Amino acid sequence: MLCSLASAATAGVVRHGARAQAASSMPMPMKHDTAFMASLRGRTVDPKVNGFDPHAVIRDFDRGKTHRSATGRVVREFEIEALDKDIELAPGVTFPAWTYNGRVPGPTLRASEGDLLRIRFANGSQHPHSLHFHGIHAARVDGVPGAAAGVIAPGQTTTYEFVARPFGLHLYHCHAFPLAAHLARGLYGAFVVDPKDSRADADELVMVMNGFDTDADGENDIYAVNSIPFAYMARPVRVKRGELVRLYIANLTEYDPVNSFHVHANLFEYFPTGTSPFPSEYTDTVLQCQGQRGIAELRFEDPGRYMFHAHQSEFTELGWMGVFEVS
Amino acid sequence: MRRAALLLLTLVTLAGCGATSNQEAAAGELAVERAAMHPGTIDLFVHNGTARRTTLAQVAIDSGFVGFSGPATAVAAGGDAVLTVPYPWVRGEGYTVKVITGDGATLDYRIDPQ
Repeated sequence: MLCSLASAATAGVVRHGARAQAASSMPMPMKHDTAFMASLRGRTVDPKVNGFDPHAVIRDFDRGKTHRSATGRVVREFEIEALDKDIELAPGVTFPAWTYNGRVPGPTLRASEGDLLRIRFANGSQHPHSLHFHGIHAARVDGVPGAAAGVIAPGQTTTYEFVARPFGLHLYHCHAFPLAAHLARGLYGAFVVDPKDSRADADELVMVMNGFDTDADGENDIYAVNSIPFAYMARPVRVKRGELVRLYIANLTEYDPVNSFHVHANLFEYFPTGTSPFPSEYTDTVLQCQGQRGIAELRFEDPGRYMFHAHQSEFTELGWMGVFEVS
Repeated sequence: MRRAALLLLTLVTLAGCGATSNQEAAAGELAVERAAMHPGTIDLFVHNGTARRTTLAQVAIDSGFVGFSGPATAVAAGGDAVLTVPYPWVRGEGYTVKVITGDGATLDYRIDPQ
């Protein structure tokens, strides 16, 4: 039949005839929800399918369990487990992810500068993994091959212990080789270290920019913040007019050299890596290479819907797009 | 590359009222075999030459997700499907098409300028 269809087309047979011939053996049609159209129609991936909701992830901070040491220092303990898990990225598209605690990005760990951190890492994956933190710490807890515990074998555990410093927005990710594969599968998360005197009160949002190479050809097919394309189009991120909004923006996109963040009709103060109390820029667009991150602060003056997205059209139309709803 | 063997890039020459010539999918392959251009829409003809049912989950044109109409169920082994994509295509311009299956494989296709 296909041969005859091709021949018919070449011979100039009208398309309607060819389609009628083909249609007899085809399934009945229906309207599909693409990620983008789904977002416009209020439908996206059901969070129950994945066990995590991008709308929860964006405001979810894991502060661990704390107690005071004999010297009075805050000791903050976290539990992280690497798990293999299929996640639905766009409606109908399943991806075999490697996760921290069953979600991508992994939990946003949060501490105060000077806290003693103990992060117990269990590898429940079928592959060797590690936790490599950005920030300042000793080589023995750097989570790279050859450094103390190094890469953790499946079924094994280790504990990373170091003091949280400096204040800012940092990262953690797997540092097992090949690096690209381990990051592209989803093994990363944000790591917030607050200043000792804390920051001003704000509505705080975490946006981890990422991409997914669904066909394993070394190029991303889907882009997002917090993994689910168009999730914040389908359901806007609600913020209050006049309230300080603080965005923790990090780029963990594999395969593409840079990613970017842009907000419509407003400008923000930008603090690269969040390590200085003074902004470096007043802008509406920032560029980040992989591993780069920063804090953006703004107040929306007027109610309404304001888009935010990568200012790279390809990324935007392949999922990295959302809306703030200001009221 | 794990699914690369499933992919086929077929070339198409647009002619007449929009029907296209094309290369057939080789046996055992899942591929977009041809495209037909209509005012405001593009029909993509997909053949599943593999031995397993396949869901055609998403379509992107020129690196942007687009809405489409297509089969309500997975395409059976050996079966065919037509995906109808509303799209403001422009005469004289070419387009890259990517169909993403339920397991993330991609079917790449090039529509040459008409």
